[in-house]
Amino acid sequence: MNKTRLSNDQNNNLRLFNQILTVYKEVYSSQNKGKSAPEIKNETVLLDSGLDSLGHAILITRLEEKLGYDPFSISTEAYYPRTFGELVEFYNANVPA
Amino acid sequence: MILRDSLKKLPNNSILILSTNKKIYRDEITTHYKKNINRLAGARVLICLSDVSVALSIITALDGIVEAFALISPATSSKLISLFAVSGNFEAILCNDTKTFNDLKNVPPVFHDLDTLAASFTPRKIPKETRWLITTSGTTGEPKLVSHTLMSLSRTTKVDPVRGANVRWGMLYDYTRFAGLQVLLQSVISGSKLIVPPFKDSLDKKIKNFIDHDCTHLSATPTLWRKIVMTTKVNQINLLQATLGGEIVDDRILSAIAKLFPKARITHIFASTEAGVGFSVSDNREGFPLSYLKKPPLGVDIKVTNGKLYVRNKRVYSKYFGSDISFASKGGWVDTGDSVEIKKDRVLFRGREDGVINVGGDKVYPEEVENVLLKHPLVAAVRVYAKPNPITGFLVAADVTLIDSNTDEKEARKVLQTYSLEALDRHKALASITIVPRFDLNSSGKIVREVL
Repeated sequence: MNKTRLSNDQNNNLRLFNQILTVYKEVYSSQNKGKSAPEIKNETVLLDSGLDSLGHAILITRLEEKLGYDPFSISTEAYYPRTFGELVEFYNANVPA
Repeated sequence: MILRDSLKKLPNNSILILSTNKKIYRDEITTHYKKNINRLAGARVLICLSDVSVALSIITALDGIVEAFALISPATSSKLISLFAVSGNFEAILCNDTKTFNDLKNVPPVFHDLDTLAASFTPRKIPKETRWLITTSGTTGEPKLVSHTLMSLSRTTKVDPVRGANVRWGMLYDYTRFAGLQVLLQSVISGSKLIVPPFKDSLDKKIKNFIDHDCTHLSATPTLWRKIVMTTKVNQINLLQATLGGEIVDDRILSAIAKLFPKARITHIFASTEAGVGFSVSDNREGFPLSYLKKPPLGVDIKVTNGKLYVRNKRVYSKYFGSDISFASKGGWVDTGDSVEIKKDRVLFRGREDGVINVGGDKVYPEEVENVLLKHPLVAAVRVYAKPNPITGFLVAADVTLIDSNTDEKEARKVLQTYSLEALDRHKALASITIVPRFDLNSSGKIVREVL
C-alpha cells in the first residue's frame, strides 16, 4: 500500500491513535508517580499496558474531556476492547455524527 | 446441620479443592476432626489462615463444637486482628506462623495448629449452633464482625451432589469475606471442585489456571467481570454459570458476559454481609423485577420506601458481634443504604443513599474529598459526586467554584487534579473537575447534594 495515500478511515484511525496515546501517556504518568509509559502498539493488550482498572477508568474519562465523546455510552453494543488497537477502533467507529 | 455432616454425604473420593498442583480430597478435609477437638466445646476462636484448604478443614472440625469462630482475611494486620480478638472476647487466635503479635497488648494465646490449640482447652458445653463471624468491608469506619451460622450462610446453596460433581468453581474472592464464603460453601457442600489460584497471581494467570482446570462456574464483582472480559484468553473457559455481586450491575456487562459465554446462566446476587443473600436475578437485565417487592423469591422481604431499599432476613442476627447496636429497625428491616428507582416493571439501583461513591469496589466519602479540596488556596466551594464509568462503575468527580474567577480554568483543573492525587488515595482522587460560577445552597446554607 502506498503510504502517502491512506484512506480517510486509516487517517482518522492514525490521528485517533496519536490523540489517545498522548492521553494514555499522561494518565500513565499521573498514576505511576511520574514514570513514563512503556511503548504502546496496536496489539498491546490493555490489561498488560501498565494501567489497572482504575487507570483505564480515568483514561476513558480524560478521553471524553479531550475528544468530546464517550463511545461506551454511545455504543449500544456490549463491547470491551482488549487491545490498544481495538480501543482506537472503538473510538473511531463511534464518532458522534 | 453441621458442615462435617454435609461433607460426609459426599462420595469418599470427592476432590474438593484444586490448588496449584494439588488435589485436596474430601477425606483430607474431614480428617482434622478427631476426638481431642471436643476439648474446644464452647470455645471462641479467631481464625486467620492463608490456605483455603487448611482453613476449610479447620472450620469443618470446629463447626458444631465451638461457640463461635471468626474468619479474618490473611491480609489483615496483626493490630486489627488483636482489636477483633479483644472486642469479640476471643480466647485464642489460630493463624499462620508468619503472623507476629509482638508489642500488642491483650492478645489472647496464639496457636499455629489445631492439636496444640485443642490441648490447651478444657471442654465446656457444646452449643446448639456454632456462630460464624464474618467481617464487614468496613464501609463505615472500622470493619465489624457479623454473626452468621452455617444455616444462614448456606440458605441459598443448591445441594445436588449429582449435578455438583460436574461443577468446577473458580475462586476469585478472598474466602473469608461474605462473597468468597458463599462460593466456598456452595462448591464444597455440593461436592463440586473449587479451583483456588494463588491469591496474588495476576488475573491473566488466574484465568490460565481456570482454563487448565476446566472451570465452569465463576463469581466476581462487576468491576472484576469487566476486567475478566478484557483478558485475551477468557473465551477458552467453557463457562456455564457467571455470578455477579457486590456492586451495581449494568446492562452492558451483562450483555458482554452473555456474548462471551453463550452457554452461561448469568446471575446477579444482591447480598450484604449484614443481611445475607437477599435475592438474585437471572433474566440478563439490570435491576430486579418490581414483582419481587410483593413476592420475594428467596423468602427475604424487600421493600422500597422513599427511594431507599430495605431488606428483612429473619434468619440473621441483627446486631454486630460484641455490640448492642442493632442494624435493623424494630420491624427487623435493614436499611441497605442503596438508592433505587422504580421504572415500569423494574427496580433500578442508583447509587448509595449517603452519597458514598463505589469506585470499583472501593468506597469514597464525598465529604472527605471535599474537605481536602477546600484546603486548596484556589478553591472557594466544592461539591463531590459520583460520575458513572464503564470500567469501575463510578469515579469521583467534583464541581468547583474558584476564589478568583479570573483564574485560567484549564490550568486550575490540572492543578487540582494533581493536588487531589497527592493528598488522597488513588481511587479517591478527582477523575473529573467542572469549574462552576456558583452553587445552589439549601435553606440551611449547605450545598445541595443530589442523589444520583
